[in-house]
Formats: sequence, structure tokens, C-alpha cells
Amino acid sequence: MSLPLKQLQSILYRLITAASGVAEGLAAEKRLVAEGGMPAGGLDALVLGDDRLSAEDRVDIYANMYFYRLLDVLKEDFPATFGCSATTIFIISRPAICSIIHRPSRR
Amino acid sequence: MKRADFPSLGFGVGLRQPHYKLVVETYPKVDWFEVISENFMVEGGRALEVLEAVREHYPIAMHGVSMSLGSTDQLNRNYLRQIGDLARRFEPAWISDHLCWTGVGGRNLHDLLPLPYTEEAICHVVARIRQVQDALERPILIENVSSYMAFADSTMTEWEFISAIAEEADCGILLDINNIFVSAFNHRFDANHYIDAMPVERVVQYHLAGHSDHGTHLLDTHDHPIREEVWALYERAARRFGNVAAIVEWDDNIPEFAVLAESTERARTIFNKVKVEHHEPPAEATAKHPLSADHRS
Repeated sequence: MSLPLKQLQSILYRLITAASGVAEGLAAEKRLVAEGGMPAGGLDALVLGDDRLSAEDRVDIYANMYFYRLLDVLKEDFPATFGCSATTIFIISRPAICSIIHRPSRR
Repeated sequence: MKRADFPSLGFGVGLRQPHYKLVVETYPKVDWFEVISENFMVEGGRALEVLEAVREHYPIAMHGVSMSLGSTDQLNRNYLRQIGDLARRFEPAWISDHLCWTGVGGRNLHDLLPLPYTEEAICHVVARIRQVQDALERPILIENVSSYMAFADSTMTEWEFISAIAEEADCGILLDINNIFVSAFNHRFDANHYIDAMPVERVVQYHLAGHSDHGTHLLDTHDHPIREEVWALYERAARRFGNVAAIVEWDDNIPEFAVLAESTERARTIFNKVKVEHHEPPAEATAKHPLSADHRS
């Protein structure tokens, strides 16, 4: 039975924006199976993988592009803070950057 | 809706900020410009001044990235109102956006995400396109996106999906030739089948662009020259669809305007070669188009 479109989009949104990447997002989704989140078959039941890229790899492409778009915006607005090597920021600060975007300071 | 309902614009360029100054100072010889709608949904300032100047000399089409036709969120009525206001002011030849979703739950991913190719998705998107067309009081064009994932639930091909939506919603198709090539590589389908399956009378415009090769997949980055394989696919499209407007778009590592203009001329040359084979008169570069401001009533 196919997943309703709204549910599919909600799952993909959570995976793409997971602060530490899709793997972390998938772990969180497993806890949602009982609540009707991710179907029991996991991501492979939703997204097709192949010998070149697994289902997780394919969602990761979108997750990485999401992160780099956030980084580009932050670099533009705060060049001194975010102007260092993209690779360094990816390794050290991806959760921090996602946190800034999703839970900005109210003060 | 048929292609003949839209003007024939010829060969143009996607207008981008690094070229604003050159375009409004020299009015280079291209037939038309496609503009990103969201870049001009502002109260005033330089961007709108540039668009005023461009519109005085060229036909334009408005191309959006935020309509989110496939999202399960409500359509953004404020966004549609702004698009409508911009269209009334600048009289574009048409308005287009992507066959995709860009966010859900009121949150935006700022990306063009694919849909599962299902009857449910067709019904959902068709209803939304009809709402958009009612709000804008005109048919729109929908563009095929590049994709990096496909869904287990899909029950048809991408070309069957977009064709069914265009037919049922009675809208046009903006066929991105590079996106077909990228998705064909990423999902291992034959790009030629895609071209051959599109409904001829609904294809109103092409996008031509470059992409980057990541080995396991291609990314639609618009930061490279158009690949020869994409030009070959364009030629196949030109043979099948005939007189369809085209633009060259470049969004990162943007080169001198002359590089883009050269690509538009290559597109024209290919189209003219195909026309000659069909014994039709060639398309000339147009200095004054019937839709440019000088010809508007």
C-alpha cells in the first residue's frame, strides 16, 4: 500500500533537515514507526536505491544541498564567522548551523 | 491550451544579476529574457529598475521557483497575488514554475523535490495547477526537474506523469533538456524516450543548461557549459517539436554574457538546420519582437 503524499513529504523533510545528516534522521524515524511515521520497511520501502547509490545516499544528496544552501546564506550575511573552508564547517558545525536556522536565538 | 496560444519568442537568456549592467547599457542581440519571478517581488530598487529597462526592449517570461505545485501544504495565496501583480505590471509572455514540491508543514527546503509518479500525485497537482491558473487568469507552464531519488510507489514513468498532468490541467510544458539528461543518467532511463513521449502541442519552452558530474550521479548545477549530449538531445527535441522558444541559463560561476549569447546562437543554428531539412524559412534574430514594449498597445 502506498504512503499518502503528505506523509512521504513529511518524512523526507525530517530526513533532509536532520541536524547530523540522513543517518541520524533515519535513527529518529525508527522511533516513529509505531506512530505512523516511517513505514516498517524503512527508507528502502520509499526510495529506490541501486548499485551506484543506496536510498540513503540519494536522500543524502538533497540533505547536503540543503546544508550548503544554508551555509551560502550564512556566509553572505556573516562572512567573518562562516567564511572558512566549507569542508571544515561541514565536519565541525553542521548541527550548529542547522540549529541556527531551525532554532534561532530570540534575544 | 496549445503552443499556438503563446507567442513565439525565439532564443533568449536567463537574466541574472551579474549581467544587469551590461544588458541595460548595451541591449545585446538576443530575442528575449526569462526572469526569476522571486528576484523582482520587491517594493522597489535596482532590480525593478533593471526589469523596467529590459522590458522596454525585449519580451520576457516569468519563471518561478516557489509555487510548490506538488506540496501538500495549502497554496500560498500571498505568493500568487505577488506573481499576479508582477505579471500585470510587466506583461510576460507566460509564467512558469516547476513540477515539484519545495517544502511541507509551512517549512521551506529551498529545493525542487520530485514527486512519486502516482495517480494520487496527478490528482493533487492537477487541482493545484487549476487553482493557480484561475488565480493568475492564464495557463501556466510546468517544468520537469532534475532528480536524484525515485520512489518505490511510482506506477508510471516521469514522462507519462508530466504528460498526464499537462493534459488534465490544460497547461503548457517547459521542457528542460538538461534536466532530462541528468535524470536519465541518475535513474537509468533513455532520455530519447522522454523527448519522444512529450505531447507536441504542449511544449512551449526549453531550458538549456550545464551540469556537474559526480561519478555516481549528475547534479543540475547550472555552472558548466552545456554538454554535447544535451545539445544532441536538444536537436532531437527541435526535430520533434518545431518552433519552441529556448533560453540558456547559468546560475553559478556565471561567465561573460557573450558566452551565453553564443549558446543561444548555437540553439538557433541547430533549430534552423532542422527547419531547412523540413523546407521551412530559418528563424532570424529579432531586434524588435511583437511583444516588446515598442509594439505593445
